[in-house]
Order: sequence, then C-alpha cells, then structure tokens
Amino acid sequence: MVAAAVLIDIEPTGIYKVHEIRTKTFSSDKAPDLISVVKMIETAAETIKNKDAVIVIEQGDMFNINEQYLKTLFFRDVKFQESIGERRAIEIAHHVSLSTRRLLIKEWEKIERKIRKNEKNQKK
Amino acid sequence: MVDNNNFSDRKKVGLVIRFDPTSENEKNESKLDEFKDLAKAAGYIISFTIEQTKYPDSRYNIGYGKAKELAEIAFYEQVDEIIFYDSLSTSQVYNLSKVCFEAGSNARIIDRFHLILDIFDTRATTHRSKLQVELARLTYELPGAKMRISLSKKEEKAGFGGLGDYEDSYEYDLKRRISRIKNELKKADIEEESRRAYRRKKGFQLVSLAGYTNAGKSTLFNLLVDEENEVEDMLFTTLIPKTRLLKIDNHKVLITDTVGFIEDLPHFMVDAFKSTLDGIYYSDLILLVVDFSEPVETIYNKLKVSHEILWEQSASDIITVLNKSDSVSVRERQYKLKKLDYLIANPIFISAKEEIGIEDLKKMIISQLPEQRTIVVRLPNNQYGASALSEFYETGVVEEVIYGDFITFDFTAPEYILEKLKGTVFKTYENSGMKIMSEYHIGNSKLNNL
Repeated sequence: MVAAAVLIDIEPTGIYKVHEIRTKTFSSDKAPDLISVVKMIETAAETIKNKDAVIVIEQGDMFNINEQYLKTLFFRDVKFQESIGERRAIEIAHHVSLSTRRLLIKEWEKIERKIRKNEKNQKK
Repeated sequence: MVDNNNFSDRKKVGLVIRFDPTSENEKNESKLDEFKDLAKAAGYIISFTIEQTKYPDSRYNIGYGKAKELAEIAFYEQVDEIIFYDSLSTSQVYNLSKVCFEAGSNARIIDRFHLILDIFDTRATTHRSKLQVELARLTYELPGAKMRISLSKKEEKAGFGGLGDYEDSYEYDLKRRISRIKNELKKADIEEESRRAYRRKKGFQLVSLAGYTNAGKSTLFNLLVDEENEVEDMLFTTLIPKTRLLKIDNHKVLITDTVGFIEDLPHFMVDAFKSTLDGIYYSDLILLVVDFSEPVETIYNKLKVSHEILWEQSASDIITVLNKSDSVSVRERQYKLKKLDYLIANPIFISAKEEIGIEDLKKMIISQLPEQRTIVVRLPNNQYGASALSEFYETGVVEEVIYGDFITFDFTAPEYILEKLKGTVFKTYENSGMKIMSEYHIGNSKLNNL
C-alpha cells in the first residue's frame, strides 16, 4: 500500500501552490482496518516538513466514520474534505499514491522476472 | 402550480424524521426545518411531526413502538400521507402501511424523495422537465418493483414462505419505460448541447446562477435581466432553467437561472436532472448564490453541499454572491466570512431584494470572464465586405461603423473567437482587401498598431 502526503496551499475553488509531496509504503497480509489506516496516514503526514498543517482526508478512506470520531483518532488536526480546493488536493494525493503503487508493482514484476531468469540459468 | 390558498384541495400530512444518536443538534434542526419547507412547497398541510433519535430499524425505519404511536396519531388526525425523511425500502413501506392499516388509518407512506418528486411534478411544465421527473420516479421505483409485486400478491400465490413466484412483467415494463424516456432525453440533450455550442460560437459568454434552493437566485436573475419571473419564498420555485441576455459594457453575457441544490439528493435524481445541471457545469462563470442572513452552521452546510455538487463536474470560475447581506451587520459579516473563508471564493455582498451591490457584481462578473479584445477592422465597401460584416455582427459586438471607400468598424469579442475568425473569415476575404488596422485589450489604453 502507498500513502501519499501532499502539502498544499489551497483556495476555496482550487489549488494555490503545491509545496511538497511525499510517499510512504506499507505492506500487510490482511486488509487494513481503521486503526492501521490512521497509523498509515499519520506516518505519511510525519514525512512532511510542516507539522502544523491540517490533515484533510476523504471520508470514504476512513470507512465513512463521522468527523467527531475522526478527530479523536488522530494526534494532529484532521478534517474531512469540504471545499472544491480540498477535494482537488485529495485528488492530487490519490493520483500520486496510485501512480507510485503502479510504478512499484511494475518494478517488482521486473525484479521477479530477473530472479526467475537467474534461477532458470542456475538450473541449466 | 400549487395553489396554497385553496385549503380544501390540500393534503394533510404527517412528517417523521429520525436522527442518528451521534448527530449534531443544530444540523438536525436545520434538517427538520428544510423538511417542513419541502412539505409546504408541495402544498401540504402539516398535521404533526414525529422525531426520534435512534439508529435505523430494518423493519420500520423508526422503532416499533414509535411506528405504533405514529399509526394511532395518523388515524386520529386523519392524514392522507405520512412522509419519512429517510429513504424507505419497499418492505419498510409495507410494514409501516400494515401497522397504520391495523390502527385504522389509510395514510399513504412515502419518503422525502417522493416528496421532492411530487414538488417537481407539480412544477414541471415543459415536455423535457416532465420526462426528467418521470425518469427520476421510475428509476427510484425500479429496485423495489419485484418486492412490491411479491408483497401485493403474497396472499394469492402459493409457494415456499407464501411468496411464490413473482410477477416480473411490471419490472420489465418499468425498464422499457426508462429506456424510452432516456432515448427521448438524449435527443433533447443533443439539441441543448448544440444550442450551447451555437451560443458560444456567436461570442456569448455563459454565466450560471447556482446555489442552494431558496437562496434568492431568481430574485437576482430578475434584477440582472430586468424581468418579472416567478419569485417565492419557497423551495424549488424554479425548475426549468431560463436563459436571458445581459449586456454589461461591451460584453454579451447569457445568464441562466437554474434549479437549486438540496442536501442528500440521491444520485438517480441528480442523473435525471443532469441535462439541467449541465447548464451550470459548462458555463464560463458560476455565480454561487448564498443566503448570508442565515446562521453560520446553515450557511456552512449549504456551501458544503454546493461545493460537492459543483465538484462533480464543473471546472468553471466561481463568484460567491452573498445575498440578503443588508440584514447582516458589518461585524457579523466579517465573523461569518472569517469562519467560512475556505468555502467562499471571490465573495461579494449584495441584496437582490433591496438592489444593493448589483453594479459591483456586474463589474466582478466582467473581471472574471475570459478577456475580451477589440480590433479595428477595415473591409472593402463591396458585396464581399458586406457579407463579411454580417459575420462579424453574428460573432461579437460591432461598433462605430464608418462607410466610405472602406467599411471601418470596432469589433469586440473574446480572445478565442478572434483567433478563430483569423483562421476563417480573415482568410476567406484576405484577397478582397480586408485588414485589421489596430487592436487593443479592453481596459488597456495601449494601442498596438499593426
């Protein structure tokens, strides 16, 4: 799994400036539960230099819990997306995490193929 | 149109609303107020309102005890309809109707979406809007069609559990009607799309009035275009979009009044009215009208819903028109603006009713619209020149036409229209002596002589 943290200055209807983009990878045998999603988000947000920025999360990513409950789960200030600008910011983070994941899978497949080839050669 | 003064024709209804135990009180109150306004907008007389704080019950939506209480009140009050805020499943409607029937009441059980559809039904006057309402109703009925038939034929048919095999011709019939309406609407959409493209080609800039229902969009529209369209303190007064020409300085703007947004509008309904909302999505500029006299929490909720709906498809610029601000003190204005600054883009205070701030709004519209450019054009004074001139008249603003050896005039249009003209009209008439003499941007005193 890949979590992307994007530090963005936003306006009500758009993005003013993208300051920083960081990604963090995680792996697990099971599907993530709420607590592990919280941990992933907090770890990814830690990689961003600005520690005072509010974390904006999509409600669907948090199993559609309500905002009051959400706030109790995090050490930092968090909120769900509201304005068009916030939605656009989340869209960027989603694009980043998805493309990073695809890249990693591609790379991993390349490595796997190489390993298999080497194994075959060794057998020969 | 619903005649609210005719009491004998109006239905008596009871409203039932269920709140989640974790929900906020203020939000619940505004939900209830909006629910009452909706019932009033449909022309109903509200006999009673029942509230319950409980997680949803799978059989009755509200608790069984409350459902029994509701049935007794419905019988005592002799209501025609009981309206639930939540969406009800077919089996919930069946169970509730059964409880009511046992108590002696024949009230019809419906939910908020049926209520909205009823309002739309009474207001729909054009063929297209009638089709849209019909489509929304059928789409809403479809998933429960099988169950409804099963339940209604429960006594007649044999089989395990008494349900027997279900009648599916009703469902097929619904599906057939849905696809027929969709086809008809598709044709209407193509017409609308070509009309929009035609308007753009002719150099009009498209501005839409959007916003939560009852924000004062129609009042502002009337004021801007100097018309007397229907305005009422009621939800969904406007259902059919209206487009009128608005001339601000040299800009030819087409302004469209649209249907208002509402919270928790299900997707099938948004889809049914998609072609109406397309008018908003494809405009150059959106005027998001907000009733600024309401409490901060209410404004926040309405802005959130508006942003959510606009986010789905629109990429246009937004001006947030803070209407009814004459009744808000300067201090309160600043407080509200500070609280909601992350949701308010390009704010402007106006009062459509008192006609305050309209000139500033017009200036703001112009500043946000794509830039217009004026060029001075010289055409030969012959038949070619005359036909080229008529094309200029169609695509932009033609001013100060001087007829002499040549036809000389000022031509103003958006940048992209000029570029397009240079590729078409100018090339066609190039050999006949057509020439751009000078060009300048509006508001820029520098003239570029060519």
